[in-house]
Amino acid sequence: MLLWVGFALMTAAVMAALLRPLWRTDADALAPAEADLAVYRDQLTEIDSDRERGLIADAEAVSAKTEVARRMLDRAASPDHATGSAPAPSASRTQWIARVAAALVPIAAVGTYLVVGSPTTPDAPLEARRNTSPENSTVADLIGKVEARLAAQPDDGQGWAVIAPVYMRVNRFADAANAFSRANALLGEKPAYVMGFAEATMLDNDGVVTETARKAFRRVLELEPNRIEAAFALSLAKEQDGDLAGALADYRGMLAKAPAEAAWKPALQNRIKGLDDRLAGRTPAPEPPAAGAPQTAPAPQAGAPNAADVAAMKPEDQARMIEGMVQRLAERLKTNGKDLPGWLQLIRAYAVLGRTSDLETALADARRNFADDATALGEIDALQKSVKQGS
Amino acid sequence: MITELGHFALILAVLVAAVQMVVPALGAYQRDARLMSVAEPAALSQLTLLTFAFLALMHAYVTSDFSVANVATNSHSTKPLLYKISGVWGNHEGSMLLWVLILAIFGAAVALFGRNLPATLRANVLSVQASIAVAFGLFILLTSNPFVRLEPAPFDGRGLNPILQDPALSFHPPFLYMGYVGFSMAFSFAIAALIEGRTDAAWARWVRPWTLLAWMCLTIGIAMGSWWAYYELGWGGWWFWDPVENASFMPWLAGTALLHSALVMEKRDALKVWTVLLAILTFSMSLMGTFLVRSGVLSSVHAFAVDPQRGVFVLAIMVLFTGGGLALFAYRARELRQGGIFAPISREGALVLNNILLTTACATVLVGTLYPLALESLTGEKISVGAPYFNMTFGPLMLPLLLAMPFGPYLAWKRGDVYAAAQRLFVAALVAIAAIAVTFAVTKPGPWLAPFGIAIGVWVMAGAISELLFRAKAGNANLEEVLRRLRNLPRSVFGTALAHFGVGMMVIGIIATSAYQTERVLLMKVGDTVDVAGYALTFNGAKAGQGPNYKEQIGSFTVQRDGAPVTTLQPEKRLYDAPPQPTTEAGIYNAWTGDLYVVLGDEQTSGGWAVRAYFHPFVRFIWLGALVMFIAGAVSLSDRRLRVGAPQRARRSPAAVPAE
Repeated sequence: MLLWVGFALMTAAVMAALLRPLWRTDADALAPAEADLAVYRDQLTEIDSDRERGLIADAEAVSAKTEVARRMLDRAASPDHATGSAPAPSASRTQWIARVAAALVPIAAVGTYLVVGSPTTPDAPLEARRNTSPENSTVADLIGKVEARLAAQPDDGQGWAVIAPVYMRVNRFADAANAFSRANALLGEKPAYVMGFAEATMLDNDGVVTETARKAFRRVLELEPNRIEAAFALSLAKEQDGDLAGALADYRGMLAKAPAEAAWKPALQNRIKGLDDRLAGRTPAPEPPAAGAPQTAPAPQAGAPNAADVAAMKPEDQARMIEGMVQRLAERLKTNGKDLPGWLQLIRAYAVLGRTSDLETALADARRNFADDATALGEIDALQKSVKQGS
Repeated sequence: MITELGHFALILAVLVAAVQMVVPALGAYQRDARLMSVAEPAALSQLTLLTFAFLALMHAYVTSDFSVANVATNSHSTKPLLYKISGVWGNHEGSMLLWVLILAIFGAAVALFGRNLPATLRANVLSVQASIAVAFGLFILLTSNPFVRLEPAPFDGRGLNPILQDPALSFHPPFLYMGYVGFSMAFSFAIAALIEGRTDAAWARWVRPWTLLAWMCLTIGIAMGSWWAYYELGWGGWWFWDPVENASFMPWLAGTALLHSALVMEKRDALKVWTVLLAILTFSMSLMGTFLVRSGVLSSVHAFAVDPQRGVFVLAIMVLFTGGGLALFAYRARELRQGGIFAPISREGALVLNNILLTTACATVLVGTLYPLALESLTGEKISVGAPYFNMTFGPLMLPLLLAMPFGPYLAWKRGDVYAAAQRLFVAALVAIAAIAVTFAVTKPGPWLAPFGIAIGVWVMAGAISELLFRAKAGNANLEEVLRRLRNLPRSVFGTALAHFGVGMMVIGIIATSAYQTERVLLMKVGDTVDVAGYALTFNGAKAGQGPNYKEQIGSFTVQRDGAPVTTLQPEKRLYDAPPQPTTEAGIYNAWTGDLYVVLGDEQTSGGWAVRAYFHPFVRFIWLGALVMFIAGAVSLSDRRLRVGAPQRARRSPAAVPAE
């Protein structure tokens, strides 16, 4: 309500200021000729003062004055409708314009505001939000509060332990991995933290079980040998390495030991069947790598197919897929150019694919991105040499 | 509530601009003084409303109100207060709001200080000015609204590009916009003159102060951007012929030409058609700069979020104003009467030469900027037109300009005597020749062309000083008399000399730093010492540090010269929290002869750090030259000749103008 009063006051003040001149009776204005002549008179005095100072010679001054005088005569002679002194053209029309404007501007203003404005959204300065009660806060607010506390007290292991699973839930995997590892370091090693770290790291890498993640999963198994998720992830890693037979053996072993009521059994069986098919040369629909993973975490994006999947594809599919990956990588680098390993990978890929013109562009782009980084430039140079030799 | 009030104020401001566009122009057409007088309160209301809207947005930034989408996208709670304030225009939407705010400031200034203008001219000028405000106001409301809200609000924002987190952000964009937008005044005056069908010496006199003000601001704005790039990007380059830089440089070239041709028009009533055309083209160049930066056709730190809709909108604005202006020009130009005549060798002739060279230079920059873009959009081929192109085209055009520059002020109006001018410049020429010899002696062995370049800079500077001395009749009178005469010279004479002097300084800075720069790229271990242009640089190691919103590595270098300690440099490598992006902060020691510039690279696995060290001789002259030009503009602006005399109303008899 107060807001609308504010709008009304603002509009009224502006309209009053705007339309007041329309009701004036003594409109006086500067006639064009008068204003022009004033300038010329000014120029004449200037010429005089310039001559007194010796800036221009007497003869020059005389001819300049003649010229200005001629301009004045011209100007005075040229037609000019009188203004100001003339009777006001038509008072009724003026007031008609005033009324139209007075009606249209507020209507248009409110109309536009209703379309683009958010009259019901209150201001939300950060200071005030920090002080709202938890019941009224959003998840983002709560995360923010914990983050603020952790920024001030980074040694608060409990805080890291609390926020880590929340990060997982909102898909902030890199932050989750960091939080799990800090909790683990500060509160003492626990399988849950190591496991969380490993999963977060894997998800942060689009489902690829990186070396860091593998180490962590192995550690989980050392702490808790029956942790099936960790064993599964390690088998997945084998699969991603192309060791399909090894992965299959692992999965079979897990299935054999699985309790009958285990909910993840069908998923595991699916996985085994898929691998069987691929080993037998049949062409299965490649599944996302962790689709069968017996865990509650969200499925990773199917962005990084593993090497084994690619190996099992038809050549043309393979080519298309590789092209696609290169394409995505190139696009990513376009938006984030400060990724040296990415550039090196892209350059290598272009070299392998024989795309020489793209190769040159990528080299140039990479250099531009690291123009201020001598070591990176060195690496790029070295790579260029090696790919040039190879081709 | 403050945010929403600001939003409403913005909407209201656009509508007030619409009234200001229509009613005064109608009044001028019908010679109705009452309708015309609406322009003044309208311009002032616009300014008030936009100031309020701008402050409302700033309030949202300062209080970190992330329910405002613009704040959430471009700010962060841990950002220092300075960058919360300057961050308001560190993004597309906020900077557009600043753009229209400055437009409103200029409009209000005409309303307040333009009371000595003919009523119809003033009404038309303000009406044209308002049409620009309407166009950009709609652009903001329809495509780039900074007041869009988010619900629920994120707890923290995404942060400001770390490269922009620098004190220079507080100055560079506002000055640049004052330049761009200031040229809209010249445009509005030109269109108003065309509408009235009258351009004369008086018109030129009214346009000149606005053009001068815009030119000053653009000069210093560009120079600040160049300086900023120099110390922030980490390799000491100060100009890259980047399309975005060119976008600001083209209006500068055209505006400089306009400044000089308006002078001819005021004094001699000549070059009228040309001056009006230049006024239109200069603002078109400003609009093109806006288009290039905001359409997404370029990618750079200046290119704001890519949104095709915005590009099309700005393109439409550009086509509308440039095309409309030129069409009106074509329709009306024949009716403009030609004025005074002059001989080729004369002050006017010199200024025509200046105009030809500057506009040709502007055209070469235009081609070099647009050609790659056109080629890419037509064939998809990416080419880069870099420094070589501009050095081959732009450089040769500047050569005659600089050589001829000192002659201009010596030539008389109408018919000049070039031999007399040459005699008076004899001393300046001697100084320049001496500069060649000295430069050769000091820099041997060095590039053989560079000393001539330095000499041209010295020639321009010496020419500017000699003009002042000649006007004060130095040599024919005693010191006291000369000083008295110098004091008596009109400020505009000082302004001219000072501006030309600044150009000379800039030339010296550019030539010296391009020809004689020293660069060392090396791996340094703690305790290593390296020699850079006579300075002994010792690496003392690097330590980690923590800023308000970044982590940093601070290197420490002891600088000695001939065994005596000079200073300690602390270049930094920063990694910002939000967004996580690295920046470099160079360590710079500035002496009169040049800058020692050290950048800390990455720590190497083999031990030691990558370090780059430069010596940029006289690089500061580039920006000092620009500063001198800015001051020169201010000196000229303070000359009462530009504050058109006689406060007269139709009724009163004009008072005699007192000599200053």
